[in-house]
Amino acid sequence: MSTATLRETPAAATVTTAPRGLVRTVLRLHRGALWIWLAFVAGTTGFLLWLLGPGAHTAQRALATYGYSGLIRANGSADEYSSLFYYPDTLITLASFAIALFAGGPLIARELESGTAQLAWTQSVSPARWLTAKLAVPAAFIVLGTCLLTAVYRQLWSAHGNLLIAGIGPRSLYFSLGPATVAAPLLGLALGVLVGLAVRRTLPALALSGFAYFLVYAFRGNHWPFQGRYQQPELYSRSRAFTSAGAEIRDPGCYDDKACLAKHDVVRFTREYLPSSDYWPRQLLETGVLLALTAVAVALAFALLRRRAAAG
Amino acid sequence: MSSTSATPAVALEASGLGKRYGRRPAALDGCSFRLPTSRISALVGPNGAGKSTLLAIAAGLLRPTSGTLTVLGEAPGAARDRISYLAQNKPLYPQLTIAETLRMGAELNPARWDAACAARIVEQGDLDPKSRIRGLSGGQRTRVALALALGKRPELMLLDEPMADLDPLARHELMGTLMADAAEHGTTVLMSSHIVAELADACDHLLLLGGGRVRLGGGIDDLLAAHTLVTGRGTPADLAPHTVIESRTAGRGLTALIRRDGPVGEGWAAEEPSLEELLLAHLRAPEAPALLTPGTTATAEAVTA
Repeated sequence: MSTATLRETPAAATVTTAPRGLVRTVLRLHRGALWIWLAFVAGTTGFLLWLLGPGAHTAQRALATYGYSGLIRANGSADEYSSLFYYPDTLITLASFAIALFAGGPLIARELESGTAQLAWTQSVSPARWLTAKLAVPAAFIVLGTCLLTAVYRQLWSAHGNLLIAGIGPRSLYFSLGPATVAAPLLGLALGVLVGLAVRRTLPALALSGFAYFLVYAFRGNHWPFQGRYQQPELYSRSRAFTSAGAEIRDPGCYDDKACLAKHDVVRFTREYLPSSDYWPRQLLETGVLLALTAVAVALAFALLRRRAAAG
Repeated sequence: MSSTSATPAVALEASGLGKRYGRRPAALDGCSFRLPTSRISALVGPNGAGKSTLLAIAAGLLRPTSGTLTVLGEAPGAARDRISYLAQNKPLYPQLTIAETLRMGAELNPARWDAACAARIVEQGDLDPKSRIRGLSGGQRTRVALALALGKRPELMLLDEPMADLDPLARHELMGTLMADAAEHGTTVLMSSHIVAELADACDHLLLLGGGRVRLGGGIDDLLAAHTLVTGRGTPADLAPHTVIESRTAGRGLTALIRRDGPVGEGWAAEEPSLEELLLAHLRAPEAPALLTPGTTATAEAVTA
């Protein structure tokens, strides 16, 4: 009986100290992936900051000198600002795929396949707590990283969105940047974890979680309520020309005709995209659907785990 | 204290335990037994007898299809901080160093971890704590896995073929460490093995699984005492009323392992069988009736202690 009473105190301590140890263990196990993620976030942020600063100089000069026609004239060159502008968006999409693959393979299935998950479950950590840590730790880093990237990207949009060639490009970028940019990789994580638990072998889990996230990606591109489905409304832009006296006039349509510009006494142009009233309803609806799907995937993952092991 | 833990002397109690994987024959089928605490018990049986399944269920890693199993008076999984489990393939994280693996043990078992004990076991094997698990040999990995299992200071150790890939010297030494530790702390050990010599030296209790249930269970001395190896002229029918487990003609006579019912008759030379003889006879005769000593039987009346 004395052993039983002695046991009561440490049991209480377990509850408070074990989660921190579990988080440290999860961090240590996946430090490679963590460094890659941090490098990706740092590199992409650096690229965005370059686009926000020195990278925009040439295009800005063209806009100020010749107006929107100056941007059109530069259209098509390889280092054109208007195409560099979309690269971070592509990188974030690729990263979401990578997150789904990581979650399905190394995070879950490899552990189940090699038996190290079972090793963790026979320490003082229940499978449910193990899965919670496996979801929460990457999710925290994903949210922090993508929030930072989205915020800088939005900043870049409001600073230099005016340097983009009008068309579907700026429209879809404008409507895609926001809370949904953060929610999509979270869905990738949850789907990968679910696939990893269901398949339990590394290679099939890698393939299947990639495929599952591809379905989400394709569905987002083609179906309501996601941005690919609806005709994104034209973004209204406002172009203005300024005379040497500082007066604001309509763009005289001179293109790079210097004589014409001199005749109208135009010394500077500006251009900006006006905010769309459609932005928040679309963003919030899409984010809501993505988060709901994430919650469903997480619930299924826990149900699957509980059915398999004594999750206690 | 709740009524389930009113029998603290029981480490494991199975009642009608069954586990089926898909459509294959059941790995465990109506398995019932009790394992008293502070015993070092061998878990023996032919390949596919359900040994690993039983250990995994007790460790809370598998859900049984039917029946119940209580572990240290609780449901499997509820007692996971008080048990250690060593899987057959000794899984460890290959990317961690030995020191990091032990630190993980400390972090995942904050209430019970004995760092000195774990470090001592690693040191005995002349292992550099800074070397990665990836680069260790099978036997070295077993040593680290055992350090992790013992560092937890468990009340019950579930070991699935713990010594299978160790050289004889390391096996002897690690077994000694394990047994000394178990004796010092009164740990209950249930370990599966095919190496009878290892079991005879280390274990004082036996569970023989076959056909998904326990065929022999009890203290090894009691089980040996209940059986007799007889040699003489005659047929197996002459040995009634004893239960003949296995008989063989040897020359003009008969050698049989019997479960005695009263004294052995005239004309038979009787001797106590070795553990190996007892096990082999039961393995060769899967249809022999089961024998569980009173302390090992999972019945309410046996719970008198």
